[in-house]
Amino acid sequence: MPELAPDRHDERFDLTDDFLRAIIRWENAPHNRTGEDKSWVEQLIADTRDHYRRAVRIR
Amino acid sequence: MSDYKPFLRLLRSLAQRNVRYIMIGVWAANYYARSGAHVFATNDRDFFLPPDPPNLLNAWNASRESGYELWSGDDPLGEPLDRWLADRVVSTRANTTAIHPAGVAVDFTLDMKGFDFETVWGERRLFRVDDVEVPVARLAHIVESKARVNRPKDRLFLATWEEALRDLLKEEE
Repeated sequence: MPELAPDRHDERFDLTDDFLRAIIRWENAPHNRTGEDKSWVEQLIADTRDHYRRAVRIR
Repeated sequence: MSDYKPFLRLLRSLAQRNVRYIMIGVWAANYYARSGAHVFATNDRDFFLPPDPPNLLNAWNASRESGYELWSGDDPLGEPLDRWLADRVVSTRANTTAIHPAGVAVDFTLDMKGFDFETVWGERRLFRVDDVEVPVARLAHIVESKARVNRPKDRLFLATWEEALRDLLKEEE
């Protein structure tokens, strides 16, 4: 995890037109159309969390 | 116990009770990933609800029947779960949280920075998890709201998405 900067509100992330256009293009990609099955996202997150929950220090 | 089944149970119960909610935040943004490489680690599952007391009460009842406990901040939500309590929570725009013993926590929020519920609801995507339709906010709405909230973790999220998108779109060209 990268080091987080202090919570300074004078710092802003610049939402450029290019970025917003890219977002819209991405959300309209075939894998993001209404009706797509996203079970794999939930399963992946659950499996990852389960994996770390079971981890034990051995040395 | 894995998180998957308790969360699915909640999604199913919300759908059966016709609760109006939209998944927002980083958890919702993860639904737009194309592979696990672009799934962002988070514990925050945020559901955006309209300021409608009967709907909120319905969400609470769906949670409880799915095995979740309800909290308001650090305190258990009062009893009984009724219209009076829902009116109070809506009038103060307070968050409530449904927590399952398996470690699943879902925030019911009545605010999404920069957006009203009907705008986000009107442009929602309906994705599927198992046999349940899940209403998810547009990625553009999630990103714009994150930019307005502007905490360090929001800026980190936005910077990560910007970099990932640049690579992904380049791959597609």
